[in-house]
Amino acid sequence: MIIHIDYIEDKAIMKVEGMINGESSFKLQDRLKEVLDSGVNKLDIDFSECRSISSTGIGKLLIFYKTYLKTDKELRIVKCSENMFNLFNKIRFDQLIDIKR
Amino acid sequence: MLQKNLLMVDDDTIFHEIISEILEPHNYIVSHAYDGEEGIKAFEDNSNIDIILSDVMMPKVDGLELLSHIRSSNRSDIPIVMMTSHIKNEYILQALRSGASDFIGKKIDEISLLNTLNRQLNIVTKLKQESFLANHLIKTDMTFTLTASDYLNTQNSLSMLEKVRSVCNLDSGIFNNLVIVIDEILNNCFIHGIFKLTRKERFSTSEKHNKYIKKLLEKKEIRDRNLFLKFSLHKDKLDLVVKDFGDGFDFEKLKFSKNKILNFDPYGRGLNLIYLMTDEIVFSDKGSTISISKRLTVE
Repeated sequence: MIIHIDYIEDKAIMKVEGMINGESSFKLQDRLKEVLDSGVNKLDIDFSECRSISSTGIGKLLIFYKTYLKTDKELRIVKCSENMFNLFNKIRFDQLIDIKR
Repeated sequence: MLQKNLLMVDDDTIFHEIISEILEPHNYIVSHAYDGEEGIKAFEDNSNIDIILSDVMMPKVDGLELLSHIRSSNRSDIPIVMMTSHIKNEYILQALRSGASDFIGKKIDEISLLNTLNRQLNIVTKLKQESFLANHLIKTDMTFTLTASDYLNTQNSLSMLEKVRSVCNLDSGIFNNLVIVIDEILNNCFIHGIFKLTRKERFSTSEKHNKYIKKLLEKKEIRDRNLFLKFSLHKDKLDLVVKDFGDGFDFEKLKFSKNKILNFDPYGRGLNLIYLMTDEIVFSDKGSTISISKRLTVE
């Protein structure tokens, strides 16, 4: 799994490529923490090149969501592969976070 | 003996009585229609009919029209035995060409009537069994063994998945879902079955976690533990059985719900994700064997 992060003014754009499995979800957690520590108020995540996510990966996103949104910050999933979109839809993640295809 | 539902179509009422008297003691339930039009309606209204016995010459809609109508319906495989008092080759040929399963004369002989009907019912049963087997028999079996060290070196798991993908010729959507499921299963089997980690031993950073696992792998007793996986490819589904050598868990207490995946308590999130992504999930061997089934059709 590869994660790129670009910072533009008050926003971070994170692009995740590959599979988020048990092992790589720790890496996702570290990169999300990096965004949190940077102090930006908006985060856009791009999952267009991400094939799948494990329950641990979902857990990491949930913890981040809980922490990040406590501070009135904005989190969006701006792009999503079909597989990820279907999964997020199935688990109703789209009811927590704004998810675009 | 199983009951058989026969639809009798004939304009001769006395003949209905004769046929009922012969067949009912042999476990046939006979329903009656008195011309081809009634026969078509009775056939369409009753999906339990197993076989039709029909006269050829009848008012309104005759036996050949009835035959042609049923053969173009969605239950076209039902056996239809035609009968007539005019045993002429032209009738027989015409009826058989129109799709009659067999032909008998109206000078009824009990034994030959029963033999003809039972033979046709047996043919249908056999065809259904063959079709069922063709759909459910295993086409390919693939077995894999993963060692405890494969938890840190995921290359073997990935090679295994690629092999399954190529052998099964899986659609990318199904394959990606399968990757999620297998990743969850393997993770559970490694964590609980092989390393037997407690909640406290599951660290929140990759570095600490891997360090701890490496330490555990120094023990031969743990290194020697394996996971067995068996993939069985059927025509329309893929089954997977995974066995670990852990102590299992009380799977009777499991309550599956997709709503639990978004719970902030991580307990059971993985199993609920497996449940959501598969069509069947069964635990055995006190929870140390999990069997899942995934339909190979695009959702």
